[in-house]
Amino acid sequence: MSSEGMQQSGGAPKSDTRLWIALLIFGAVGIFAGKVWRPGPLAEAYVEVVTETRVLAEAVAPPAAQPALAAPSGSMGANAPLPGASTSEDSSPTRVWVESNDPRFQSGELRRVEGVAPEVWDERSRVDPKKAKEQIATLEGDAERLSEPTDPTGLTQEEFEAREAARITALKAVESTRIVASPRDSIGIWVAALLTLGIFSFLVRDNPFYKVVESILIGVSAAYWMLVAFWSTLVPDLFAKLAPDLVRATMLPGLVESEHPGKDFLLALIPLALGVMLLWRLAPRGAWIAVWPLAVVIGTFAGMRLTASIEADFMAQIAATMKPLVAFTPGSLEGVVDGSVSGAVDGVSYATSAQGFDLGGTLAGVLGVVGVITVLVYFFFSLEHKGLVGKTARVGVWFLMITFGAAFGFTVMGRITLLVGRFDFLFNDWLGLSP
Amino acid sequence: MLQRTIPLLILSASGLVLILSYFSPITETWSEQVVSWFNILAGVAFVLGAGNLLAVNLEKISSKRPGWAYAAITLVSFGAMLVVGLSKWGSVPDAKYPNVHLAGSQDSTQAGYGWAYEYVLSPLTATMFALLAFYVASAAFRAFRAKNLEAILLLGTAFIILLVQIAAGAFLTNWIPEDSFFAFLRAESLKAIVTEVFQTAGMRAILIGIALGTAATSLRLILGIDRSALSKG
Repeated sequence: MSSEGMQQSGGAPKSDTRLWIALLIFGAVGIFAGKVWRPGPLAEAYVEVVTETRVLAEAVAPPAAQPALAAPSGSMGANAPLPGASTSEDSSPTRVWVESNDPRFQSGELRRVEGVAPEVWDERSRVDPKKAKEQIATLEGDAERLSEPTDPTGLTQEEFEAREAARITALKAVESTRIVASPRDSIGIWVAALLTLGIFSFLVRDNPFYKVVESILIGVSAAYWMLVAFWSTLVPDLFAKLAPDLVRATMLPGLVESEHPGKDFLLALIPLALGVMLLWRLAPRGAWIAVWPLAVVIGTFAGMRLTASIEADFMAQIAATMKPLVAFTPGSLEGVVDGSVSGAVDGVSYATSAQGFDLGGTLAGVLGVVGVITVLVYFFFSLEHKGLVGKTARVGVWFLMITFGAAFGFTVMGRITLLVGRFDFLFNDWLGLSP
Repeated sequence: MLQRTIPLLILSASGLVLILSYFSPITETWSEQVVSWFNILAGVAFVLGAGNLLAVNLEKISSKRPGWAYAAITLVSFGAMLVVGLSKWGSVPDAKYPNVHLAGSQDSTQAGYGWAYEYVLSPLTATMFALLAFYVASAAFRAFRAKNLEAILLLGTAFIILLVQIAAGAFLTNWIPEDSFFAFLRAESLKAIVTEVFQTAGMRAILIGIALGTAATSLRLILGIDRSALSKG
């Protein structure tokens, strides 16, 4: 790769010796400290592996008794009825994937479909390295203990068989739980650590390491949002209406059959056409075609925001401001004496003692109303800010300054929290420096 | 006509359907349909954005402009993420439909997409925002000067908020008895006063202003008074 290719048009500095030295020192010190402080590999990652097995089954009962496929109480969600996979008109029974040890096989409600291989896969979930090691030691100890046959001395035949059965069941459970090191996640931690350091390197100055990481961020981020839109919107809202059978067979097997597939298809052609028109913007000519779908987007957004902002912001904020200015402490249900208040709400009678004046609450209420009015006066530019209006607006500015100061404080704290999170990742997850 | 009038009519019709649906249940299904189209178009907009990213970076590479190597890295990372995400590479099968590969979940790090999110996108975005902590602090140090009452109020409030959120805030004020007259000076009380009284009042007024501005702008667009949004083809 030529050096020109790594330069920006603005002209990045060619030598970043100090930056690289600083990064090398940081890395070396971190790794050394990690080794001395807490011997062990860097970026340790463990996963708990659970092997799942599903077999294809069909109801033994005739289609009229399809409720047999309903999940038994307390069973896993995987046994739930199959949405959208209702019995077909040729009266062939509904087929569902269930666990191989589903109790309905024993009761005769289900039978396995012959000739279809079971689906087996592993599900891995991250486990904290420290807990993982403890669990591995416990599991190994349990396996060793349970591998010893039961001593039959002093036991009847029934007791011996019961204990042996329990031992074998426990041993199987221990053996089926696997906590293993995960090289895939370890590599991931390394990648994340290097990328994190790449972003931090910008603190020294703009440099090629940062630019590479920044480019990765742009590419991955663009693809991520495109994928989110594809899987969460385009597939279920567009493709599923245009080609429901294909989508059901390949992407959304749980897709419920529409009552009006023809109408859905025709209506889906409109956003499809608008979408194509929007993509026309990439074409060298006829970019104005994209204005039509843009008009739909802008019009819809304007319509949504108009009602939403009036209802949720304007009205709601005014309603929240219009509270009694004089506040009282809540009355007590105990010691109801003279001056007590009583009555009934929704048929439930109540009686409370006299309420007391709440100075803090009253001040808060008054300040709240004064703040809203004075800030609104400040934002009202149709009147010149002179005289009484000017003084009121000035008080509004004080409220605004306090508001901005608080917002600034919270923003800084939010960023520092993120920063602490990144250091926690580098020092603990990557370097393993936690005691 | 095609470039000006029809887009304006489409814009007005889409907006009016949404407004009418708020007042009349008869047009509710219309608004649901329009919102569904809006969501689909928003999804297509992401595809358009990706297409634009491709076009810009490919042009940069083909013309060997300075920094073209970074454009290549962007495209490679974009393509890699797209391939693993669309193919659902390594996804965990759906327990109900394990035979349909694309029905699987790719949220965990087991899947390529989940791995890229967990170990590439998430740390990068978090670090990028964390980096702002340095620049916000640096800018504040350079720009903030307690020259007048307004600046003092801003600085003082920020200081109080920063102080009361860390252990030092509680450490410095916990000696004040909770039932005394000066209990409002305790860290948690100061934070509550600033946020629940002053900040709430300020934010309410700002929100009312934003709501009025949004409503006015929306009306101008829907009624065709403001046509700037559709002026560029």
